[in-house]
Amino acid sequence: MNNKIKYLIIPAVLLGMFIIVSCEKRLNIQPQTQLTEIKTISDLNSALNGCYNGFKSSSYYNNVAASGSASAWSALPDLMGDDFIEVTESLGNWKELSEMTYNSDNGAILGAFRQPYEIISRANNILQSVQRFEDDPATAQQAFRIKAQALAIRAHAHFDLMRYFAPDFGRNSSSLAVPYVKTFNALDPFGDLPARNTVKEVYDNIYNDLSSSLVEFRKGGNPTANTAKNYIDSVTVYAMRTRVNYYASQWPAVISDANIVLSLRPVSNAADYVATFSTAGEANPPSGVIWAIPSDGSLKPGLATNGTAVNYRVATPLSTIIQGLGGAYVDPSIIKFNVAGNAGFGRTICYKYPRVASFKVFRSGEILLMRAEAKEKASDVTAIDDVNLLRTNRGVPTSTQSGAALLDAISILRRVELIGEGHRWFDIKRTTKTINRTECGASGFSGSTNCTVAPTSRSWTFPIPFNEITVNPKLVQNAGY
Amino acid sequence: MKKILQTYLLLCFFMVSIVFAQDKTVKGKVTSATDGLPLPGVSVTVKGDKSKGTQTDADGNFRLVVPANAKSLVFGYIGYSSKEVPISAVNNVKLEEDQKALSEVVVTGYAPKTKREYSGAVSTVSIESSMSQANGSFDQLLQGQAAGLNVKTGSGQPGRSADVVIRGRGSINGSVSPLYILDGVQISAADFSTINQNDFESVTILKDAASTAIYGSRGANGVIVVTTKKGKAGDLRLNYDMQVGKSRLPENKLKLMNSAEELDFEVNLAGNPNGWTPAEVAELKKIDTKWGDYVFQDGLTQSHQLSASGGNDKTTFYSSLGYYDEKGVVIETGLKKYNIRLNVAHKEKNVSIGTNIAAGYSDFVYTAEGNQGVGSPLNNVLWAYPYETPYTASGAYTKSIQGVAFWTNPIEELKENKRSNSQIKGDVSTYLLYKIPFIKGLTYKINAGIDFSQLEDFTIINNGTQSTLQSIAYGSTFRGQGEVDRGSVRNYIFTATNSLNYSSFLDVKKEHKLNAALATEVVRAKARSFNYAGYGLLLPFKNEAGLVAGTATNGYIPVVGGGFPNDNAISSFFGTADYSFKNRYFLSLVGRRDGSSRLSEQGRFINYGSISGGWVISDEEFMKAIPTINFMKLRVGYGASGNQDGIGNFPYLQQYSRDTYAGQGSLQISRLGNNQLTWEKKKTINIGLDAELFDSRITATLDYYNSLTDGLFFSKYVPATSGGNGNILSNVGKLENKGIEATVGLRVIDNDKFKFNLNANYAYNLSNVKSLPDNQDLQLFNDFQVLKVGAPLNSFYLVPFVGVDPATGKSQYRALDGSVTTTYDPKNNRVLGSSDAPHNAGLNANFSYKGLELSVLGVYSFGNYVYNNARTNVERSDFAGYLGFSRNALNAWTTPGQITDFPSLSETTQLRTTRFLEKGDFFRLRNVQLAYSIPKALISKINVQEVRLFIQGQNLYTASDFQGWDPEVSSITDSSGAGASVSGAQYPSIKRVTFGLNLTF
Repeated sequence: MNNKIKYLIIPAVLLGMFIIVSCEKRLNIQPQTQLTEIKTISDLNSALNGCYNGFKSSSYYNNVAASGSASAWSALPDLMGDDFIEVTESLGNWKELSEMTYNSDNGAILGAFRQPYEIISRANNILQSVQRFEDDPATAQQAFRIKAQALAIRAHAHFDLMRYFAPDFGRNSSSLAVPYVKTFNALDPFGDLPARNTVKEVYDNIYNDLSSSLVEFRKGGNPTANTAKNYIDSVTVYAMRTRVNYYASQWPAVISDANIVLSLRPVSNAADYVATFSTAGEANPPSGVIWAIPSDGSLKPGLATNGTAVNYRVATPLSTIIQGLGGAYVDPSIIKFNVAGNAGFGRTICYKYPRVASFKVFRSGEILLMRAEAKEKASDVTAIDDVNLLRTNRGVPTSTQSGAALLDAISILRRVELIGEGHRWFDIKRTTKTINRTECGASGFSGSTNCTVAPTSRSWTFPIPFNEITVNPKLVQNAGY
Repeated sequence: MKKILQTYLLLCFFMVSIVFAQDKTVKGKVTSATDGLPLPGVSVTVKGDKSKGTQTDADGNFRLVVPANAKSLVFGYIGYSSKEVPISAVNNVKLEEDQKALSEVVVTGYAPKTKREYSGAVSTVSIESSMSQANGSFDQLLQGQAAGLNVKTGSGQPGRSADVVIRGRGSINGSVSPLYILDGVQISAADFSTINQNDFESVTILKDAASTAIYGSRGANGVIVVTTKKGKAGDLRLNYDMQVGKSRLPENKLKLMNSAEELDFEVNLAGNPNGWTPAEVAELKKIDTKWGDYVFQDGLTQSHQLSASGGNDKTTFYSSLGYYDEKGVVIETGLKKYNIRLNVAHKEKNVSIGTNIAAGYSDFVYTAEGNQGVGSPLNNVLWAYPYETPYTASGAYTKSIQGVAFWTNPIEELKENKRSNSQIKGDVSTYLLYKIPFIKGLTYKINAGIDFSQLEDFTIINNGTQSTLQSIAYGSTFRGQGEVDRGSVRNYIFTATNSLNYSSFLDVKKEHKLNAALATEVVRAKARSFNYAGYGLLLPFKNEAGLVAGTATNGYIPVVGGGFPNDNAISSFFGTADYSFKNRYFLSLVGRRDGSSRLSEQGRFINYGSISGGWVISDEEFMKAIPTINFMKLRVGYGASGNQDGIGNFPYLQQYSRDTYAGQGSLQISRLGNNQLTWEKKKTINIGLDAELFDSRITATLDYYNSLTDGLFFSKYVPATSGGNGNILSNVGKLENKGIEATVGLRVIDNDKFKFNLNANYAYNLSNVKSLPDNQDLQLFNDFQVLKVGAPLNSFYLVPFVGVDPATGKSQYRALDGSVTTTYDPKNNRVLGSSDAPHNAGLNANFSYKGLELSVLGVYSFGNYVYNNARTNVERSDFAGYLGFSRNALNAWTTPGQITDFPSLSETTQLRTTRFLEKGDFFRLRNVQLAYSIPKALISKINVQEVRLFIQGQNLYTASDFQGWDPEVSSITDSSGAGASVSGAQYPSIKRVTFGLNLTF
């Protein structure tokens, strides 16, 4: 017995020791559910999708009820302006934002600062990886196409950042905007801590990127399989540039870019306007849709507006204006009047996003109104024709207006046509910087108790988030914070 | 060589001389005084002549030839006091179990050592006072048991594990939870609810680097070594232990308004947001629902354990069957668990082998906790309006006027939409020890085992419940017709250790002793998960069969997920050497090389070690002058250890993870890479003193330690411009933890009839951030905290709230310059106290009189702060009137000149202020047990060896000012993960009284 065991055990000991020692190879384990580098053009294309996906964040276009996330470029500009009122049931999740009483440690503002840069990082990562695919003839065309989209995305995200974090939008303004970031280093994120570029510098970079994007689109062609308009094409780039020129008051440039857009994506009729916001038509939307971020079952741009549980409602003065205009604007699948809410108050509910739906980033309606305004500013008498073209296509009576009256009409049409699409607060910021809300506090069926915001308020410019200044002291804080 | 030869000859001479003397044969039997069972292997020697000796056999019998002049024999056995017995009385020798610490065995997991020779810092948990308590998860029972072991129980949900930290948090983004070793094999630090603590034989806490070094990188946060019961040779011994009892929730110190108060408050102070008319108010005041009465209940606990042990001198076994059933204090919640264990050991000549097999199954029904979610019943029970009823007149669940988007009926959610979890767990370990015959003192041992668990989580949301309406309200229409979610995770951890051990005296006088070992070890952890969510629960089955198949039209398309949540390996090589001289001076060395798959190839391996020494001062001549000190030992240890736990599987790689865009696959950067990522290193010095006085009536242990973690794992907040929302795991910063620990044991009264023992432990730990990344002085941390150089870890960072301005009703804050302002400004954030309690103590008192025994365990913790996030929800002005509200708001400021501490409701409530920061100090009567053992004379006739009855109470009394259910918060129930805030949905920790019975046949 003893001997047998001895002969069995000694080899077992040696074998055991050997197996264990030699298993340092076991330490080479690789992830099976994550990719660690972009190897193929298909990986690069998926990375581009990942870049687009950043727009679905609740800090950007998504809007998750009862969370108080920013939804900074979808619902928030209406809420912070005078078109939407945060209803009392929302538990005040957007109260600091709609009252414009935020400080530099506001979490929603932090999200609105970081999310665009997240998208920009992804775009920069693509732009840094694309070269070898451009060099390979087999993948070159697709590479150009990917590059074109990444450049446009980078410009778009920087522009959106500037809209909140810069104090003014003058084309040559030396006010501080945001850093325009063109590099990404996943292994050394502290290597480059940029300072804020001026508004002028950001404009220069945006124009550069948009022009380069158009060059790449010319080489690579527009995205294929894009009937749903979920991908940026060259028309989208012109639309982007129209909006940038509009903020920069570059009126002739607005007109020329808008001409290109509207010739390819004309504003169509009232039925199309209603169809634009129906989920059924998303796969093949009317021509007015230029770029839409798909919902994929998760994006809820104007969420919780189905009448039973809303976070915000349309302010009564605007509701009155809309009812006065009529046409497609009062179609029950666009807006609902007199929906009973807390304490029996009859509310007007913007119904563009009754359920999961894509978010329309650019529509021809906006382009047309920008062109009309630019024409009026440039003393082009056909401005009224653009306004009436829109009215006709919305089933609203036309009229003959000019001068200040026309500009007022355009301003009101922007509020009505683009309600819930993230423009109002920026329009006020660009123009008057005055907010007078008529409905305030519990008696006004509003969660907000701050009814007036003066042009002198620091809040017209978002604070650079406290955390960001802590890690990058080169970021100078905006005045007043 | 010459000297050895001389000694040998001398020995031979003695032996010959003995043979020539007149001899006689003595026979006898040795048993244990505790249980009367025979003791095999007891050394029996003639007093004054240790050369004559033998050992008892399996039945405790011995036979020894002694010189005619021998008067008495000396009996010695590990764990028992040695005893000198006159030869006339050796027929039946009873040995008493040793109460003294010096011969206590320290179970470190590899090779047991006596406390005398051990020079590391360890604590032994008293099994009697801890594991006899009823609880679904054994880590909860460690509270107050040992100095330096900080346990936050956190939750009263049946089976929920606690938060255990040894000697302070030594890491920021790495793991701080200790390593759990069960019979030599690593087990996962979760799923304790499927382990049966009644099988435990010992629980030892290894605290300093010298004692954890043998566990290498895995032991950087301390080690909890558990061994399970072994069989004892002798007759079959059967035990039956049971407990049955009731539990109840403690008082909630956060008081909410009753119906009349709420209505008056809404109408008069909160601007009447619900638009109540006076008539409606009068009508509603007639209703006053106490929602807690519907959601909480008296819990029931019962546990039964049947165990058997026995064997002969070659083979022993222990086997047990356990059942535990707990009904929680929240309706519908509960835990049932079933455990089986078999431990077998066999010894034959040079070989010892053993296998321990344990299997467990548990079933929970639970509710969500530790969140601020509008769907959580434990939030909604607080947020409910007291003037609404739980059920409508027709018996349906009431929908609140708060709106289904913000409030769902908690009773419906608990009763109709169940969440359950079932676990299967298996722990198998086996060892083989072989004394290599040709080299004396050389042994080989292989110890290998697997910790396996399969967890399955199941949630059902029934069609038509308010939860589905909430989904619709949030735009997720596809979730609106019911839902089934199921997810499973299969975990296994494989551990194998091979070692060669050499143990020998180096000289014939046996003064120099060496024990050296070389070992290799591999630990491989792997987990596989799979989950799905299916929608459209329209058929009458409460499982997958109830789902309607998804189509593009109905939208019931299931979401499928899964992956490899755990996938890593550690490979190690290590050696230990212990040297002792005269059993008085001890020196231990450990050297180790570890490699981890989690770290970059450049930083994958680490070499480190420890050195420690012990000196039994009381053995020195000069100490003989102080007879009151019968034992005194000084221990000094210094060592390093590496940590690589808690950082995910591939933290050094830049990664892209999958998602969907426009129905196409997308890949987005999910992690920034760090190809320099290496080990977090912790160096610890420990100085300890053990002393026993007055014949061991007083025992004391004092330890001082100082540990410095260097190259801290820290997820640096990356500037947005470099990576959006990202952060990057780096090795930056230094963190110090230093403290003292004292343990004192007193045998105040110790005679045959009456015994009174007191054991107290106290630990003070101070953490101190020594440096931060990039020479920064400050980094924001968690939700409300900061890392600041020179301040403790987890310090709060808030604006000081200094009351309400009587003139305006506005909150007043202390600015940095000390002035008082009513303007909130985050620049006035201050570094405040920490959420980790620096002072922790436990006190255990034991009285026994004949068969009656009373033991009391109290725990005390103070010096920390807790952010009461749950209170913010019922006190912030924007919610006033929109949900059930705190009574504190009745004092809200309304008129100029009013002195109050509750600001005007017209002011927007700022949350990042000390208004919601509360002290976490508490004293808790953790356990009280009164037991009675029926005298043996009464029961021996019916062939029963022991009958013990007891009644015990857990958490019967808690002293605390915290405004909530309970001041203890663990990271398990806290969304910030730092144990810093009561984030909401707190499942109260419970008071429990049980009656129990132990029977031994």
